[in-house]
Amino acid sequence: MGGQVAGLANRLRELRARHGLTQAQLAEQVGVSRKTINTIENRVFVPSTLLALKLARALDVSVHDIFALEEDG
Amino acid sequence: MNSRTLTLIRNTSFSLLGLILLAYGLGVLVTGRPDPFPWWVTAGAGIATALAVSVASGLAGRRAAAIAWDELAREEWKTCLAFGYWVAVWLYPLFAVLMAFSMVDQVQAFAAMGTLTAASPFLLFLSKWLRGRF
Repeated sequence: MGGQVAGLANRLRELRARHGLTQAQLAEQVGVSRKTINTIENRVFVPSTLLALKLARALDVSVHDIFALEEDG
Repeated sequence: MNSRTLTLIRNTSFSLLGLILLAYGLGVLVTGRPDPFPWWVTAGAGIATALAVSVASGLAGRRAAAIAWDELAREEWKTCLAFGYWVAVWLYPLFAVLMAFSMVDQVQAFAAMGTLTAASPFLLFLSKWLRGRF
């Protein structure tokens, strides 16, 4: 059996940097505020499925490349 | 006007409104008067806030307004409204006690509860803004 899900890990900061985008530029592309990108990267805010898909499209990766369930134990 | 300017106008208007309403509510309790300053100041502040945000949103356009009210902002605002609900609920027993001990009368309680309830979501908004959530 799988362990308990502890949270949602993400590689948004790393993938954004790989594309040479600032938080503001990525935010502009997906139509949210820079603060929203910042809080997602800092794991303060969990985005909706719609925003997750938009981020994946903007970074040309799949949602699974950005987000992953973090398991406990 | 871009989304950042619109956000600044919204945040400033909401915060000022919260502070004005708080000042009125606390003013009632401190002075013992139901009108520590003219009632139309609070009403005018509410209408001015609604106008400022609506006009700024109209000038900024649909996309900028959508960015200013993106899903993080909507989520945080919902939290502020929920906080306002619970403040409204808890003010009843609080003012019941204050009235039972004759610390406020009915008219003062009505004025203070109304304005403090209205202030609460905007004050939480201000607190979240200062913590970088808006």
